[in-house]
Amino acid sequence: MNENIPIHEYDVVIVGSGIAGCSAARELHRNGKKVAVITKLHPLRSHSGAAQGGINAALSKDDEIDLHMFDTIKGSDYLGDQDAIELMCTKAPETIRWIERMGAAFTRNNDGTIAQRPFGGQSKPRACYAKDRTGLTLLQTIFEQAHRDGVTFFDEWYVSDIIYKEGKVHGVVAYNIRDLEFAIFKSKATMFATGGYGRAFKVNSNAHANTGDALSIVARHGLPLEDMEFVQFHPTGLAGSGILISEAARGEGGKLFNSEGERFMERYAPNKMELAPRDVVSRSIQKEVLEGRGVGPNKDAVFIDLTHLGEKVIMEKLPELRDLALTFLGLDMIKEPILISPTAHYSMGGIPVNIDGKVRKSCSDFVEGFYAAGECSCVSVHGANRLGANSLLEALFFGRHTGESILRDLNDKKLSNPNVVFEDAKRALEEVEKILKSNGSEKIAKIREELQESMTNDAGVFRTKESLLRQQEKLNELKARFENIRIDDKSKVFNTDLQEAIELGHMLDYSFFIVEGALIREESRGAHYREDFPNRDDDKFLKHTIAFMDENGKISTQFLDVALGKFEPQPRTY
Amino acid sequence: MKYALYTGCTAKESTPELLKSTMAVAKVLGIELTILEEASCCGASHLQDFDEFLSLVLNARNICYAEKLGLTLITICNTCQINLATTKDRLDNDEELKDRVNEKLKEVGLEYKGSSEVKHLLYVLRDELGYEKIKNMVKKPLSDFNIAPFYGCHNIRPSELQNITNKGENPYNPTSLDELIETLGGKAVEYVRKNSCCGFHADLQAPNTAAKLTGLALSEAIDNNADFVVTPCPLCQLNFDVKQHEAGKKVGRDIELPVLHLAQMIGLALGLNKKELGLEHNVTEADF
Amino acid sequence: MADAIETKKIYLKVFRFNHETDYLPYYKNYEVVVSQDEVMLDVLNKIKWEFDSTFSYRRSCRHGICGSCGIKVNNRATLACKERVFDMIELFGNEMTIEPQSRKRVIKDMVIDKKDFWDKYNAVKPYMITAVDEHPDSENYMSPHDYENLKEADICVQCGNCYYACPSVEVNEDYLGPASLAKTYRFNFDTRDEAKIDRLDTVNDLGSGIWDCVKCYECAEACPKGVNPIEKITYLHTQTFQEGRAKSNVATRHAVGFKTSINMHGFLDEGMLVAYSEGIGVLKHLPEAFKMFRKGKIAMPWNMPKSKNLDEIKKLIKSSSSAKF
Repeated sequence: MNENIPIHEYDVVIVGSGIAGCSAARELHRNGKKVAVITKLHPLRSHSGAAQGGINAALSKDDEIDLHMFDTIKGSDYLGDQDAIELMCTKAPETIRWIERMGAAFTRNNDGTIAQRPFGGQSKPRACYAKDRTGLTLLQTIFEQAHRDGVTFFDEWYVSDIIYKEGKVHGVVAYNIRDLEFAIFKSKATMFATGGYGRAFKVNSNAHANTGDALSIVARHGLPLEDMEFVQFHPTGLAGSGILISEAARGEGGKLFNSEGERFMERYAPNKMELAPRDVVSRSIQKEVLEGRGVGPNKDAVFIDLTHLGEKVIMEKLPELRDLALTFLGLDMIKEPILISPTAHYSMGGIPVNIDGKVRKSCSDFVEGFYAAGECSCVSVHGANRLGANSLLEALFFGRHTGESILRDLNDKKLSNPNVVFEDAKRALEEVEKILKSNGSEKIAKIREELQESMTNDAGVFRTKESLLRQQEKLNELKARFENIRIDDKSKVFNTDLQEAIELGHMLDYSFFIVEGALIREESRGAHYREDFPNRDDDKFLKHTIAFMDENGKISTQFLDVALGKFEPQPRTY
Repeated sequence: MKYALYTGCTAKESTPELLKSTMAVAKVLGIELTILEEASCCGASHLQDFDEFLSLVLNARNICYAEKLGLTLITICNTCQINLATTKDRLDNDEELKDRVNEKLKEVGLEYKGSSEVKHLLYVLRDELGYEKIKNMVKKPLSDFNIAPFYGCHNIRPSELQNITNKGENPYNPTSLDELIETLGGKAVEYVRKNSCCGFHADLQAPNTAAKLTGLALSEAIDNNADFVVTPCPLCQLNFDVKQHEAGKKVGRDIELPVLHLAQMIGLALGLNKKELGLEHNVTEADF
Repeated sequence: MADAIETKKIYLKVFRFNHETDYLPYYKNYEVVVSQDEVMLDVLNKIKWEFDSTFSYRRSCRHGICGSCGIKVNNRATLACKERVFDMIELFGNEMTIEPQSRKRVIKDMVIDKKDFWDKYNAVKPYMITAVDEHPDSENYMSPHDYENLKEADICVQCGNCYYACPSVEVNEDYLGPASLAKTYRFNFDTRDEAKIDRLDTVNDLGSGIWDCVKCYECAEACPKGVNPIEKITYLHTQTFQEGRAKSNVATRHAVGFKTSINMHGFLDEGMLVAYSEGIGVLKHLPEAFKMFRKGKIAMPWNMPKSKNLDEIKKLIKSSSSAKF
């Protein structure tokens, strides 16, 4: 590693090439800005492509924008910011039609319009879909169109730091995974669109890549993270692997049964039944398991039965899901019920941004030249619990919207010229060097396994003060052990040993935020459930958690008011 | 055992030895073959590139004649097999398409019903006659020979279609020919390219590709001490047999390796003579 | 899922190579215990996490949708996260050789350089070409039939399994290969796209396009998503004729010649077909023709076989054929 690190100069650098990153990039590039998108995978490998069930918009005549807003706000357990929700829901129909015009292959009604299916917590069939591979067609389409327009992509580059000085982000430091050569990407505006942080949990539906690197990169500079305690556990992960069985399975009519053959959702959500929101269904399943009514070899799952749909419907609407159950359980959902249990799925929390994607420096101030959108951000449209089929919408809409916002700031000359020197890469270089030289006794895989296992056990679906304190202890222990790691691969070529170590460092850091937020939030709201505080407490906690990490890794917390609007908080029943 | 034999074009033209040896071997094995004289060319996958519907109609007609006899249709060419089997699979699983095809067939007084199976001779021998039975009839075991089995694409891929009739033959590790070779007392040569493509179907439009693939496969067989190659597909056979010299040039070596049809190899073990097996038609001397 | 978890032991021979440090690739042996619900990616993870953390491979989604983890197991194209280990044991027994998709393109262990793959992806304009309304208030109408007519070509995840399994690609680096041709189909059969003709002209050149498919079905077998690329290539063949973009060359005349010949004889007149397809180029086949003639392998016009009931065939060709050249 020498001091001749090349400096690439762009108007905008976007980190992450999923739906949010690609839609922002396209918007900026079309309007004459020089854009680079950096991804540690290939854009088409981004995890947006794994989204299955659908994308919401009040398209049909008997649906209304207001209903979509209300469902989203109620689903968020009133923690969602109503201004952002209103904007997203209002723009949803246009957004879907826009991606359709660019080529997205949606399933159709007989009259040629886009078909929609029911989803949890929605008062109307509102999820537009492409069989059960909706994310795939959206990711492909937005990438293809960005590519068509000529956006520059840096594939298999790992962004290890931002250049943050004087309240402004001046770009990022990254290395080429192929040969470990570093480069500085200098830019007037930098946008993060790096996805979620579900890999901190043992049973999760996320890709190996979803290590939430961006979150701790931001946090290590003393910038805040928002609502990190809100992690969505999706009720229907395949037992064992946690791989997602889309909510479309319930949307199309899947029924849940416990070991006694009882359709237990009757007891928890008598009106909505299986189509209650995810947090409600996940807790119900977990409760059944804890009370001894689970099924499967470890009695830790329940059945979802789709056999009554018949082969034709399953093959036409849920072919991917059938394939997944065959691959990971050896069970054919056409013929038999399959085993599912809750799986860490979606990160409601993230990098705090305002409605235009600008990253917060504090509760009242913003970082210059720094933006975020999609799952890595917290805008917050999902509040304490995201409704199914709202995440693709968020990524696609806020990705584009943030692109427009950056464009406006660039055109209005609100962004000063970036200023970088070689020294700005020091931190990133040192991190890599330190890990390459590491010669301790701890294995990356072992620490990661313990992290994931303990997070699932003690900061998972059900939490208590006791479990969270235990987990804090555990994190401290793991963090100390991380200082004593050893990696065996010292090579510069496609060094995934090194990368897994860097990623583990990130996972450890942001996990502290999850636990800290959960500890401080002494209430139960949406996906965050405290057994010792089972009720929602609007007086104290109708607020976002804004948490900062100091140089010693200590976390301090502030609260930010929720943007309320026309929908007053009410008790949330389904 | 009675079957309707779909000869295909090649057996009647450039590989007359295939038809000759097939009939001779069938007789010894006690298999009665009725040649479908009404049949037309299967389209060889090329007509399919030009006019898909026509190819379905013609192949449905071919199968109709086996149905009329109430017999299983057997093929002696992999490409005929895949085209007939594809037609059958599509019509049997798509009522609307079947109706459209039958509408045409009605004009010539025929109706496709789906009542006859379509199987390659190799799998009839393995699954219906049984290798055990063949073993008992071997007169001149092939114990002096290292024999390279070459399966040919259109009998093993796509497995989803082929498994309907070849009962789970693994396209990445096929065994039916190897087992037959062992049944006849020969030694089956183990080599990677035994399940690969000979290049025949690109021979005219991509001659370099075809020749290289032929050259690579034969070279590997030679390097593993093959005395001859055996294949259930006359198109692979023709390509290997006639073009091996040219193919050798593409891979930078001399190639001289006899290539036998499935039936010719069986015939040798059953003690049939060269004339009966049409060995004089093989271009690369096959003087066994 | 059975009531008890079953495990088996497998014996692996794993391809290893690091282009920075190794002169030649080598194989390393590992013994791994696997359980019934594990996939091949779990095996790769076990090698890395339990035995040798220098082992490198690409992976991300772990459920068959991102297309990162294509490898070869016993020479079989395999998307590691979509293949149950127990199924592989059933196919091959418990000894497995694990290799990258392409040994000659390897960078490190299972990681290969996919530049040629992506270049060919880019070559076919892999995106919908139409003027995009940036603020539409309605969608395009598309019938369910037109949507189904994409025949799942839209779910290709660009894993490259078919491309690196294609023998035509193996011996001809110019050939576009099954993945990019399936992508061509995806847009050429989408009623909303406007660049069909342009793409057809790109993919129907001899030497690089659809006519270089050897029809081996390796791509259909290799595809983990059921895209069936060869089926799409066949439809591109017919589309070039339907759209009047088929140039008169040896490949197109060859396809058309079948119809002519079947109409005359029911059978194929092999000699005539070659002569018709090649035109003057037939001269280069004379040496082999002579060899064949000597061995009694050429049917002469006077003894060209004819199908019985040839009139039926002629009638069906007349009534069923719509393709033109």
